[in-house]
Amino acid sequence: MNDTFLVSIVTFVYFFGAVTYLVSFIFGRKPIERLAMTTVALGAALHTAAMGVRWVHSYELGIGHIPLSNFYESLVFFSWSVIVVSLLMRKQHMGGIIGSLGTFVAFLMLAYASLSENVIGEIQPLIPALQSNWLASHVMSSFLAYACFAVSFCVSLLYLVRLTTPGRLAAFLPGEDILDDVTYRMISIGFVLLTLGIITGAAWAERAWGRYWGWDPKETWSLITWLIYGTFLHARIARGWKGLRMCILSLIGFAAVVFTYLGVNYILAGLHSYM
Amino acid sequence: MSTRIYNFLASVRLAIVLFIALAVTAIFGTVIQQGLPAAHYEQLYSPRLFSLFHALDLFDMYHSWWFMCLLGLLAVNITLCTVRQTPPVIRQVFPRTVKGDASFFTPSRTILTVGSTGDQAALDREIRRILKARVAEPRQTGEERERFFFAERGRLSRLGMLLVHFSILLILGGGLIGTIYGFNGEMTIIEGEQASRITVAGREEPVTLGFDLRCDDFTVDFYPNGMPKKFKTDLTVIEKGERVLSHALIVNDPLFYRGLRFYQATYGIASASDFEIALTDGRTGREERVRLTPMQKVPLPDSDAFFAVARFTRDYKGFGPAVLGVFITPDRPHEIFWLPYRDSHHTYRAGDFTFSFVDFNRQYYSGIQVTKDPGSLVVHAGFILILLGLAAGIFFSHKRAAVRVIEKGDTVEITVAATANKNRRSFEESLLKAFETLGARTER
Repeated sequence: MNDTFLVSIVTFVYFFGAVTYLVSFIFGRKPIERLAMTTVALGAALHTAAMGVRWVHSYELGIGHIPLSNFYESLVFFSWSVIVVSLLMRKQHMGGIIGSLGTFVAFLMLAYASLSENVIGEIQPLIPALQSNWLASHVMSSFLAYACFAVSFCVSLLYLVRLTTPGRLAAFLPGEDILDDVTYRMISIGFVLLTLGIITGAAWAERAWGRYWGWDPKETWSLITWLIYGTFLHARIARGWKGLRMCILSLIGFAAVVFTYLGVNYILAGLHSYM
Repeated sequence: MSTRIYNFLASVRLAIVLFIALAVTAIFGTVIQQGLPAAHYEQLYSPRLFSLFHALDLFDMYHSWWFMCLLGLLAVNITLCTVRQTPPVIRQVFPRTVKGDASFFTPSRTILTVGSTGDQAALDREIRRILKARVAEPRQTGEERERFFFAERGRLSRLGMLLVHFSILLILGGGLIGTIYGFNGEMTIIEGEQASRITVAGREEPVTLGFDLRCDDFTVDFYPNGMPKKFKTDLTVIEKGERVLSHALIVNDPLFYRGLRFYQATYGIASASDFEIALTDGRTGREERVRLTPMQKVPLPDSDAFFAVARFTRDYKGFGPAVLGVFITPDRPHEIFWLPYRDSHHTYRAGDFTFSFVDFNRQYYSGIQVTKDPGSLVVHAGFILILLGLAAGIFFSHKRAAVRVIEKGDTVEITVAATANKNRRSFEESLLKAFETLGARTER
């Protein structure tokens, strides 16, 4: 079984899951929400299997390595992380709406990975710099952090929608306090994971390139992201900021995440050109 | 006045301003490529922009005085903030006397008051059970008619944030030590030879290692698709003529020796000889191979033409190694052409023959990066501590809960108070749910 084929099945499953979540949210039906959750959980299981198949297949090709080494593989893992984070989040009084948004984001990433011509789906061998035990921990912690930030971004968007469209739609959405609190908690966890990602990256860079920090654009942008979320946490914990200002910081933070992930590779030159 | 300056330097407000300033200025250095020769920038930017950027040190901004000042100010800010925060946190984490009285029951902490008429012993058991399940094993104080149950968990997690800030100081300090006392140099060693000097950017004199490094062998492997798979230098450390140790130097596996670290960085061809050329006679289809040295002429079979290799290049237009071939016929001008190494698309046809460059003897040189960073250990300590601190500070919270039982004739009044330094609301809710069952709610 080809892993890219499995991924395209998962893409459809997620689309169906996102729509089902949305329906459950609009009609406020618990059974439909459970159906959505089961669908997404099944999709996630298949998604995990697809990554496993790819891993095994790389060994059959004689270039065995964990599938976390190029743009395609990073998109697949990023999407997987977003699903896992939003499945773990379902207890946070959020109803189906966050499940819907998270699943939709994961669907978009997989669809882009499968359909875009910029993304090479084939398994590629590892260049010498990537042949390291740090690869797995660095990439996994970074993308799990990105996933937390993606979910907090979705929640912040809901907060904005709630603020700007009072009335019937707002009444559907979770309360402002809950949205604010969930954003804060997702960002706290994302921040720890991002710190871990930067540190594993630094330790690896010292082994591969002879320095733990070199102001390479990817490194610098990860620091910029870290500083923005650091600002968020200080404003919240030490100065008690709440509401719109926090929401805006969260949106800016995610813009920095997207730039760290994509902008650095597409726009700026640097050592992380392989992703 | 000085207190105002101190308060400003120790403030979270300054921390936020510095975070934003660092984040915004750091962007410039990712948009403007750093550390290239001045000529490159002069070509790229207009003279006015160039002199502005130059004045602001934007071509090497992460080492500029103003960026260093921002980092220095951040270090001062974190230091003062930590100094200010430490005593109250220490007092909270290691209190001299643990109060077990009514003073815990402030209005903002009080979450529930219920009245009960049930059996006293059973009631106490239930309170203990709930506190143990939601917080920790409680401790009882007070007297029979007004008794308290106190439970507390995660006190040490309050140290997490102190640890995080201290770790950032370690990382910044370690970085400073590395900048002052460390260096980053390079050396090249040809296969079979040894070297003991490294060139360091920005220093006139080469640095002497005090021992010799010999490159016994250099090998490079490629994947079938042409991507590089592995570069390896077999290195031997030689001290005063004695072999000390050998190390297979590959990317991601540096050699640590005498406070220095050696990394496989680049490689190249130092010299080439004995070029093997395959020549196919178009009339018969027969292939023949000849080995040539530069400027050596060989006659071509069944013909009055000759072939010679004029010279070798390490890289011909990005195609890699190549030789310049010369096809010589008596009555026509010479034909001169490049033959890239092992490239079937770049064969050359001259007269009746097709030429390709199939093999040669080569001697590699290995490019080795040499670094010294006495601050590295400090930075790594900072890495480990910051993760421990963040885990303690973010995933654990300091939770405290207390229950007061006052006997009022036949009934008892039960008051529950709780606080947590994180996620307080859900902690309160979970206690509220558990204690609501103890009796009839009287007031909130």
